[in-house]
Amino acid sequence: MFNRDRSKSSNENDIWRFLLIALQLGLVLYVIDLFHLEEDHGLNSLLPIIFGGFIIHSWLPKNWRPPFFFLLTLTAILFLFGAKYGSILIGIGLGLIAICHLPLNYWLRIGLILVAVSVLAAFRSGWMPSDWAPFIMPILGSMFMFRLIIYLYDLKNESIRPAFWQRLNYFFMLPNVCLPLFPIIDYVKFHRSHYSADAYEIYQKGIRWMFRGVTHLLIYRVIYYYIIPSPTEVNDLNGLVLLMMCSFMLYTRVSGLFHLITGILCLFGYNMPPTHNLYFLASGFNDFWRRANIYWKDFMMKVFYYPLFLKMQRFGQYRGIIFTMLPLFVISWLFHSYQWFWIRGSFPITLIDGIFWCFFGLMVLTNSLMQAKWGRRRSLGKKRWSFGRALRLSLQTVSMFSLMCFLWVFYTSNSIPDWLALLSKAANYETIDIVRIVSVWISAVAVGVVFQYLNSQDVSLPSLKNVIVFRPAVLTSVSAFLLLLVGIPQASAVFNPQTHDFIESIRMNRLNSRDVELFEKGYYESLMGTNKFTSQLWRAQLQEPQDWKLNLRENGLAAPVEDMRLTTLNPNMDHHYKRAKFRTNQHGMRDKAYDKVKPASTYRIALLGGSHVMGPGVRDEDTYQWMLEDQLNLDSGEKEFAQYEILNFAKSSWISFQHLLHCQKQVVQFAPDAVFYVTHFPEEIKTVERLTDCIMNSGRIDFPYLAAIADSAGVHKDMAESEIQRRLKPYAGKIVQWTYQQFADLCKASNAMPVWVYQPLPKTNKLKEPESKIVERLKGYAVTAGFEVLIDLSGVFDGREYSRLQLAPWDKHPNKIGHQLIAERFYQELINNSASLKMGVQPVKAERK
Amino acid sequence: MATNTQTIKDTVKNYLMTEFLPGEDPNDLTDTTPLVTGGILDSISTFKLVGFLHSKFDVKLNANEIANHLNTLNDITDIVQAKQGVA
Repeated sequence: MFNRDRSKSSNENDIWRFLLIALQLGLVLYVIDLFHLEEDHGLNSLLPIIFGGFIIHSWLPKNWRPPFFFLLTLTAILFLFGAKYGSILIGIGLGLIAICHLPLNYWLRIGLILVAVSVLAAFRSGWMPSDWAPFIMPILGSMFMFRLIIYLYDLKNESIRPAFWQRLNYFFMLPNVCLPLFPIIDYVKFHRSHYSADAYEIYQKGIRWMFRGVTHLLIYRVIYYYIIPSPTEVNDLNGLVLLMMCSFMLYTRVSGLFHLITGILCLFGYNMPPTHNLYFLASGFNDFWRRANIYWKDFMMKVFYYPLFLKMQRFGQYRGIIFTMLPLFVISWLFHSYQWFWIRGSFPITLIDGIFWCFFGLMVLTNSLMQAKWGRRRSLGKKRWSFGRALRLSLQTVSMFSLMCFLWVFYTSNSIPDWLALLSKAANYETIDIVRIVSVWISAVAVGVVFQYLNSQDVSLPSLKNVIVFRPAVLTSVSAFLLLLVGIPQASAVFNPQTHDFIESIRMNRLNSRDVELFEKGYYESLMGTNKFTSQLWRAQLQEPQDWKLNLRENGLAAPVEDMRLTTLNPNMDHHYKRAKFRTNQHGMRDKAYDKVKPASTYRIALLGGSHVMGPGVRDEDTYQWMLEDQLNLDSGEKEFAQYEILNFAKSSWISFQHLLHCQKQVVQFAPDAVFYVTHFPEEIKTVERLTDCIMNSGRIDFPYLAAIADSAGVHKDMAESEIQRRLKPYAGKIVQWTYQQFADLCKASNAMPVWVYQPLPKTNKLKEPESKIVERLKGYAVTAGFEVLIDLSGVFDGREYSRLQLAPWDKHPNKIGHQLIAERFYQELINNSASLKMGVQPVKAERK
Repeated sequence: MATNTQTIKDTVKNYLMTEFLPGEDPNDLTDTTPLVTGGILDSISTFKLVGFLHSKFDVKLNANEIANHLNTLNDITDIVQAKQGVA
């Protein structure tokens, strides 16, 4: 009777604990959904599977849970990748596991795995083309690229043989289906951890970690969107210190993801140890190595350090440490590139990475040798308070943080000259800056001392140990609920507009201004910044096929020229570009054939712009220029001209002064009646970037005015890119204004009407400055320069889902539907401005195509 | 010759307290205190411990055993006994 009552009470208690966990999980998942966390990778689609899976899983008999987790992961794969790609992913994965267990000699199996991995690498690199590899390889790679190494290592060395389902679950982990940045997990720890403690304690730990992950990711967003300056904006010591701190703090993205993933694993009984442990509070290099990305460190220790050290011991303790540690960090460096290879398809080996890892390795080695000689102070439980000790630890911690900030800005720099140019900004300071920085530094040390004092005292809240899950449950629930309240648009509307906009902006998953610039610029592939996990850019490229990355020149569609245009389109091309038909006429325009001499009774428009006008990724006849011309000619309304021609002089990557040069050299020869200059972005920034390219590539500047500006800014060919941009930025507005002026004057001198057009792209990326403000400023330049007609296509995509108007998730240029919308709106604007443009087109009531 | 569980545990605990945790309360070091994940054993001290186990109990650990079986006093006792049993 007594036992029955106790069992009943335990069951009731379990139900309450379960409900409490389910409530918290619901809240945390809702926060993830509300703030669109990791939405690009499909985490939002996975949330119902996580929630529903947890509910069913937790009530299943214990021996049913591993197969259920496996099936849940397969379901998620098929759901996110579709039947075709999902089946390929599952099939390859199961095949790799099967090879590990073939009844063959161990080394023969290793050989077979190497062959299989080499074939997969050929697909990943694009050497063997396939449509599936770019989509599934990042996930397949994250599941297998390191775990196969650990698995094979443990198969050889471990006597423990986990159950069949646990082996499958080791590779097919639910969170990996959409989060590829979590490749390493120890096989022994994984299977040992399964329900290694009370189930509800593990679940509660999982919720806590998930929430911690969410918090880290939100902190990351605030820093990434609002605080970190672009390196080209750094002009003095204050800016440099801010950039250094923010660069290092962006690592919260990695720790946030790891917490989120291990939290999800806890929900399914895998009681995994922490992946990060207060790494900003490391007091030395060894300490940092132990605290940040612990799974990586454990992997390196297990598979390389211990076996190597046992062999090197014969050289004595100190030499043994040296001979073991130095290769360890070189391997670490190469493995980071190896990880990137599976995620992105390229194997980046860069000097900056090499220097960073070697320096870091040397520091850890020095620390280890010192500890081997003099020992290291360790403690159990609470440390006893001593002011001297607390001060020393605090000084070490703040110094280590400062040093890591310094190192991190190097690690994330594009090149060493860029980094040196950035450091040179430290010379620009005022006394107050030094006072401010030193004060903050001393305050941080003081806070560390006070924190250690409080930590040594018993200042905790009254104990609630009797209720194991209660306190963390309340903390998580209340915090998640508050985040929900802040995040729900209707609720955040009660704040003032600025706060509301800020919250709305934080809710969005986007690139910051600097990364938008790089993304737009199209050469981000070569930038080091995208090789770092802390950058958001790599995600945008994750699924981009190899052939998509080829630019016009690499596709044989453009060739270099000896002037500031750098490249021009080749004439008479018939080729594919970004998987769409791309033809050029005899004059090197992406257009049908036109005579240079304008036919009689023809109104001719010359259209100039960048990629947004040229129309990459859509067929020639699906560009809006083509559709617009057809529409003007098909229109049955009253028309003054027999024919309307729109000549497409656009070319990807050209900007203001390059169009001006092209206009001088080619466009005016076609005697256009109007020249439409189409812009789509804050031109000042892009103009500075392109002028930097010109200076760096050839050093040739065709316009004396621009050459004079380059002289005034003191820039030259051999200078670091970021330094050139930094120095040119103050002149950006002047350059655009001058270019517009030259453009308008040239048109008028050629009897063509200069027309300025703003054409937005279908994308959600927000800039620090509102789009409307940018457009107004550009309009101001145009009016001052004497452009006679301004056409603003803002809002052309309003009310549409942008993703349906973009070429692909990795390419925000308009697709065919996007071009159609632009053509329709543009047509309307031409009709409305027909009189000013002297086009002689009357509006028609019907018969639009 | 196999050594009994308590003797191994006491010997190892005594070594850890003397070598790595001088001045700390021995009661804080329990059979399940995490030594590696808790930061008490790092790469250098792990090898010192491995050397100690070799000299004291005549057990030679391989790399895998060092990585996977030294996290708690219980783990250490188990692996020493297992190795002695094999020997």
